[in-house]
Amino acid sequence: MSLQLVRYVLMAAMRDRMVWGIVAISVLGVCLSVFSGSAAVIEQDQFVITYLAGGLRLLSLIGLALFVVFYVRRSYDARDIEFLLTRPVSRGQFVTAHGVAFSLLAIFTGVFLALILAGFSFQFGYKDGFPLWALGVTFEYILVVNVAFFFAMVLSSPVTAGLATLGFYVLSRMTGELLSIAQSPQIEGGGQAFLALSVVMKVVSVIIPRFDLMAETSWLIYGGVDFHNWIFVIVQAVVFLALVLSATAIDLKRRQF
Amino acid sequence: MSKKFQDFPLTVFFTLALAANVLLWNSSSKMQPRWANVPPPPTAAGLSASFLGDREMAYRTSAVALQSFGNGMTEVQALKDYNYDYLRKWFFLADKLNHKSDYVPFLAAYYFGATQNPQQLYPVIDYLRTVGKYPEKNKWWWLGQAVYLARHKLNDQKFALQLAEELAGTYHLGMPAWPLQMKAIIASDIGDKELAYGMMVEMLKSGADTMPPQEINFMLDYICNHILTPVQKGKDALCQGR
Repeated sequence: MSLQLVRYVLMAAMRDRMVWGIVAISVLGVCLSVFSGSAAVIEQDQFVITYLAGGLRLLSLIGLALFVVFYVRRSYDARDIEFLLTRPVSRGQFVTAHGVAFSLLAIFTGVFLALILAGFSFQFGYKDGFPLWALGVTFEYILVVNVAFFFAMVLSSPVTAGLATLGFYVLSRMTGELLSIAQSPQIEGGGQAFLALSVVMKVVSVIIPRFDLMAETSWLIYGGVDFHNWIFVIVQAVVFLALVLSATAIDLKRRQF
Repeated sequence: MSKKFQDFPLTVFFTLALAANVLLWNSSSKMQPRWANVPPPPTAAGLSASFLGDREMAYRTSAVALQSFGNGMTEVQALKDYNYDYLRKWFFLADKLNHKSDYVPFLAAYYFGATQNPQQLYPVIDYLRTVGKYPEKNKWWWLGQAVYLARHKLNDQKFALQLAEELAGTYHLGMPAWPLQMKAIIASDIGDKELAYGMMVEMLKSGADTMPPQEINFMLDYICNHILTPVQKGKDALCQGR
């Protein structure tokens, strides 16, 4: 792994004002959440935490994914990648360094979001589920930036890569619901087309992480997390990160410049 | 040709477009959104999907929507005009998404329970009756609200007695005594003084060691001054000195 390359990516994030963008959108999200939460007649603190956790989680993720996609495609278009690969940096090192750099940005964003939520959660006395929620969101960001890296390397258009990343994210958040529909007894009465779609969904879900189980907003309010939740979050992050980074490395190794 | 003259057709086109927008606004500004009553609720899976599987976000957003039904437009609707059958479905939809929160039970009991048409209260009471039996702390309160609505708003004393019996079933140490006393009070109100007396005495026998003194005093006072006649009171050992 090249530390210079990691530093180069992080400098690009600073140059593109990605960090400031995340901070600005978070401040806006906090204001909107507090304002919207104040419309509730009771449980205002729970509304604020829910809006903050749900809203900022998505906004920050979009910022991260867009930065990664546009950074990689710009590097391709400016022939930076070809130039870097002529240096004594192997293709494996290139993928690892970028994966680490993007993951560091994801960790920064996850920690920043966790700090904002900690300010509210601890003030309102909701502490039980917070540590796992913060860890889950950070891992979710790490996985999404690496998926964005993969799509940006594979797809030549930044728009397509951005949409593919967001589509992947939506699918990952919805997998639980979709699997429950696919396994519902009612699907058998829906005809062959529904049965075929349910089989497709089950097959697709093999390589789609369960983001709906990574960080549940209800943990922040009601706690209720146990040892199995911790293990699932950590194991899923490790297993899926290995899959997506190796897929990116395989694609780059086979690519002809 | 001067530059000013070259731009003339474009300026005319822009002015016409602006005039067309003003004309359109003149027509569209009079169109007000109209409230078409409480809409049929989506399924829990559908609503959850709208928030990327975040059930807590779906619950909170639908709860605020419930609170705002009928009041988001230029006029405020009377509760009697609401479709309570659909409201019932919204209540249970919210319950599927989050059964721990007190937000929707609060709206059901204190907001939708204030309808001008008491016959609409059955869906509200049905919902509060379900929520009130959940084992979470203080959920019994909502069953107490169901008893209140049935007894005082609906004036259906038999139904209220039935609910009060269910409320008494939720009693555990640490709760105030009124959920336990409610069935005896309602039985007394509907004229079944013998049943009310029996219940109160039974509660005194079984709970005298655990109930606070003020609750015991209240029950003795209720027996002696509300359930028993002055003649019966004079003969009853419990009422000596009262």
